[in-house]
Amino acid sequence: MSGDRQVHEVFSALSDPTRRAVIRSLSEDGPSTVTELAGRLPVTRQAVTKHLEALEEAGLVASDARGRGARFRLTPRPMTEAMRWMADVGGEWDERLEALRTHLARRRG
Amino acid sequence: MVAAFQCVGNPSVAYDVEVRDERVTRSVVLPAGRDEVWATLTRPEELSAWLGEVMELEPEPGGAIVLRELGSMRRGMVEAAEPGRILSFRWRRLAGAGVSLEVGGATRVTFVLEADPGGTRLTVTEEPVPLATAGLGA
Repeated sequence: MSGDRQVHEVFSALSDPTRRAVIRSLSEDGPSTVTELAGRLPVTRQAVTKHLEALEEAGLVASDARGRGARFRLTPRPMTEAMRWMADVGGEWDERLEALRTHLARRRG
Repeated sequence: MVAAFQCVGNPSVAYDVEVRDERVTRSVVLPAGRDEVWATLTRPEELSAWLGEVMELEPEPGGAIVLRELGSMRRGMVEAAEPGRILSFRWRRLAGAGVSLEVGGATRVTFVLEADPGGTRLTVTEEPVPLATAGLGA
């Protein structure tokens, strides 16, 4: 459970529809430059740059260089970790609520 | 589950991202009245029977909640307590009994109780608490 904070960052980053579109585009077309992304999405280069920064901060994309020619690629591991967090926490509550049901039955029994 | 990642591409890995937030939600109908369910949430000996061994529990805003689990502890602070209606607290997991080593970020747990033809609907949500406010009381 070391990833709770990262989980929050990942989900915050992914809460924006344009950022999700950027991720989808990178997953479909592979590593891309800002210009290429702006050509495929209905947003400006400036907007793409801003969204890539947010995604980079959350650890979801990485670039091989700086500046105009930089290509951005997906680094989806944090997503996997975020999903694992959801599965872990959900599983804990499934067990606890089952135990609560048992406790209530015994209490009333 | 409010999040789904679908692997849609081959051989390249493609993600179809549908994420709204990181909240985990479970909802169950329990064959008991709201007062009874409330008691199972707020009486130490009852909470111990299903959530974790209660070391400390003050079910009022600002009150402490400390539970011992297998191999770790959870410590937190009650944020809201309206008898028969809602109980929420933030907590975090600590490494071991008496050891205040953080091993997880803080999360907020909220129980909502509602009358239901079958008894009481209990809905629990757990979600990470943003870092900026995570330190308080936990």
